[in-house]
Amino acid sequence: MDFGRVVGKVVCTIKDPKLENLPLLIVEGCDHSGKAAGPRFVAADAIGVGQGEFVWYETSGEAPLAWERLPPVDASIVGIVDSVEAS
Amino acid sequence: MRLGKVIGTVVATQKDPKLVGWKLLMVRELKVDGTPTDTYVVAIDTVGAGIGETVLTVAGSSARLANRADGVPVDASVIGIVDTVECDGKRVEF
Repeated sequence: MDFGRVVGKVVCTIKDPKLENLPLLIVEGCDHSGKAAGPRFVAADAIGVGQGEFVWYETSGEAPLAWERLPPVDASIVGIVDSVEAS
Repeated sequence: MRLGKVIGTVVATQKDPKLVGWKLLMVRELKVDGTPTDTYVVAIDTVGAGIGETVLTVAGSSARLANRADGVPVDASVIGIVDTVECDGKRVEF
């Protein structure tokens, strides 16, 4: 899992049936301090996050596991970061 | 997932039997601000996308979770046709 920040959203009317009611957000990869440090990509939102929020996400084969219906997604937002302690 | 622009189709007569009936699209990946990249991907079309359309693609094992794609030997699928993108508070034009 990695850190990211929500910077936008994507709207699709015609899409896979399992993507219905599943927000698609643009995420920018971040380091643990919240500084932009990675590419921007589209991730599905499993928890209901807002624009600008500092989140963590998972990718690849684990991303669909955030939902029981297993939608065809390769990145999903699974948590909102409150704080990070790192030395 | 990645944004992409459909720039063509791929035709293969000899192919894995499970790919029979699938349309293969040539997709050029886009950055989220709409600018094209130099990355191209061949993806199966699960939503009926056409040339010139902006689409959403999924890669890796999740590509096989797309509609009717269970067990199909693919690692990229087109799973949505993009209507609008908003990034950094601005609407992206494609």
